[in-house]
Amino acid sequence: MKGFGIYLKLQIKRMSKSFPIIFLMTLLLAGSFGLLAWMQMSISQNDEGKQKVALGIVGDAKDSYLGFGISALEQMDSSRFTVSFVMFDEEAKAKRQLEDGKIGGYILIPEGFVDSVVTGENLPVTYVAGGGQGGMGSQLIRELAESVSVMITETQAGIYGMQNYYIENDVLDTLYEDADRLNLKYFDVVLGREKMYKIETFSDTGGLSIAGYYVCALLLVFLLLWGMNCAALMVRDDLSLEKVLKAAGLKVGLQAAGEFIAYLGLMIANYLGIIMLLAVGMKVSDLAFAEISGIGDLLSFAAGVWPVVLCVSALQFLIYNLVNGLISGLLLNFLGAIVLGYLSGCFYPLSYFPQMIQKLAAFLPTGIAMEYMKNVIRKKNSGAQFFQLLLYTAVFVTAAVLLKKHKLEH
Amino acid sequence: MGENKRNMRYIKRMGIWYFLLNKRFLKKYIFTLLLLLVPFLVLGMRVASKEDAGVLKVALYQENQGQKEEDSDGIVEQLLEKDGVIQYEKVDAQEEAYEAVRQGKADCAWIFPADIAEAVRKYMAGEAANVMTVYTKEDTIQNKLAREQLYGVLYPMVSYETVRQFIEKQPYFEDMDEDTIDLSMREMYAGMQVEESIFNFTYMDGTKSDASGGSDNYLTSPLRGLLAILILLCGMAVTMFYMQDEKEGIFIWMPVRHRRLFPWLYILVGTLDGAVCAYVALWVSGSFIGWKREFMLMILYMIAVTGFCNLLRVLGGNLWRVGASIPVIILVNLVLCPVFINIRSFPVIQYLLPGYYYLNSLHSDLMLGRMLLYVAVITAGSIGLDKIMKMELSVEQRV
Repeated sequence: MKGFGIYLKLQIKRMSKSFPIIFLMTLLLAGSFGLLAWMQMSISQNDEGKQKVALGIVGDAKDSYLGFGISALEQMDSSRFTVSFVMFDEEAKAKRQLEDGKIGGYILIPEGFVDSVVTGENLPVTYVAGGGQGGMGSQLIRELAESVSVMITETQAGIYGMQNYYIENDVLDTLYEDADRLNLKYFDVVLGREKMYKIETFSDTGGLSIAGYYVCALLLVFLLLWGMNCAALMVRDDLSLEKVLKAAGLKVGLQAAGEFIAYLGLMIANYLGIIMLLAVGMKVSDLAFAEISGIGDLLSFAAGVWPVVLCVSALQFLIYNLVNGLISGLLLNFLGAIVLGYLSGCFYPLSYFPQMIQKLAAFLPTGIAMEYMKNVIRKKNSGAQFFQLLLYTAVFVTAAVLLKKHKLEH
Repeated sequence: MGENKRNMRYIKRMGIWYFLLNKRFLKKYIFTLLLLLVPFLVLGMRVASKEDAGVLKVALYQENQGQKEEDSDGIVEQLLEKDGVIQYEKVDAQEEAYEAVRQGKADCAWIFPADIAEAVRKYMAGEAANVMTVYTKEDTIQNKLAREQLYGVLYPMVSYETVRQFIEKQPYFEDMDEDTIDLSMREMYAGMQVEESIFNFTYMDGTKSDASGGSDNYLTSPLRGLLAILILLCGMAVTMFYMQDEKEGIFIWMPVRHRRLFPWLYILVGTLDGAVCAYVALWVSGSFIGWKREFMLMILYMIAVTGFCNLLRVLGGNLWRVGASIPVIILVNLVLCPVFINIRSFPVIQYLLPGYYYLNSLHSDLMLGRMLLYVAVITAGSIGLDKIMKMELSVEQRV
């Protein structure tokens, strides 16, 4: 045990020597996550005037129907908080703005479009997306466009049907006047469509806010990626010292325990440093976010997630003992962080995924960690996840010890 | 002939170097395994993306389920058949729908009346305040957008009622029987309906956007960005490997004239491994936009990453600094390149990132042109800066 104590001291000393540079990298990493958090909050704002997607419209702005349609779209609740429209008189200008990223896409309305709708010709309207690969936004736009298309074509069927009915019944004097009135009636119906629904809401006192969800997700990804800072420190090519120590009587398990405790200490030191800085920042700026309304909540949450810090440290410790080289250590750490984070709902909420992935996430250490953190931030019971995290920690550390033993013996 | 022989010998020598360097990287079995895992992971996500999933989950309940109401059934069936970002699920009891929302299993519940056509008629005639009920925790923008899809499905019914009631109210038809008007109007209305959408979807370069969601599926759309980050990580890792070899004096025997370009070539070989795996993975994932364009973009991106990593090596100076910068650089790439979302912020930093050009060049020739310029600048810049710093170092040493 004396040998273990000395070895532990040496490991702690080794970690301490690297602490300043690692903490500096931790600050940079935390700053990047802060930036990510700020951007995420900006994008998910529901209030008018906050982040809106700019969509271009290329068409004849003097066309009264088009102008009316656009101002109607800009007034609709479902779009006015998320979309702003920018008019262009030439497609080239819209294309330039799209390429420069100033608009998210543009709608190309062909000349004579409104007339073509009136005459039943229906010239196609083209939505032009950006140069990158589409994703959720593109799919949503397509689905909405389908609805808009139905509104236009069914309205057209109504107006033409009415005209044909008038003609068949020989009511010709008021045909065009009544067609105009019917047009206005249709505008009224479409613009007032939300009144069709009786909307009932209930207050939920136990749910997690979107901001709260992303606090947990970002913290988890931060902890997972932080491990890459220590790859150079933890991945060992040359195990001659360990072999000598083993020959001198310091068992592999004790060596691994000493290394893990020192590594865990390093992670906790960095973690606490960031939390303290965040607490100071909150005090100075009166900042509150998600379910964290003050420093008390922050410290309570930070302290409450210690099993997650422990489990992630153990996972990273296992990875460092699994690999033989620095590059493999970096790659495995990164891939592990991204894949586990993705499958545990750190990038997209888990509810976006199919059932089989949601079920898988419940077994992953990172999925369990997310559930645990979500319960802690809402001050709910997290006993089951607590024990699962401790169990995973034990499994990872045991596996790391066995791997180290295998390496030393072969 | 002599020149041809020299060229052949040169190519052969390059080939041997390529083989030897690759052997060095690939004999690390974990490195090889990780690269080989990439296409399989992508295949797994591709399979998962075909399962039922959605950004928003809506529970559908139809009142009086025992009675067959054609119109309500048709509406519910249309919604259930939709395959998009909104996922619909039919439930058997109203309380079940409410409970699903309360427990967070659904974002909202839509309660349809037994006879929706009658409900629409009454609403349009001003005899009822609403057509149906929406039950939700919070009426978010996403819920509002989902209701636009609902409205699209209800609208044919609404539109027909609008015109029918309009005609009934006209004085010229007040003597006509309502059923007669209805019968006649229905026929005329049906004759004017069109099935096709009036919208086309394209990208900037004119290629059609996949409406079925193949390459644009939201679950698989980040894969290209993540693979680009993986290639960058390969490049950075190989850069560190080179620095380690250089420190150990592995290439001390190399003539000075070759050392200018050698680091860049060394990094290129390692980056190529990552690029090959990513290229295969893109093909497997169904995200391929066309093999020629993909090939060209991948080559350019690989060279861009090589230049970027070489520059990092020159500016970082030592193994530790380069290694410690990896998480920050990866994260900045994840945020500022369009991996998950397309953010137009901090353009000065975005223009420095190879991933920004690669991910925005898929359908944009202008961005492709900018990428070519970036590749030229960063390659020449990194090699040039390396030469300048080595010259300065040798001058210092002589002094």
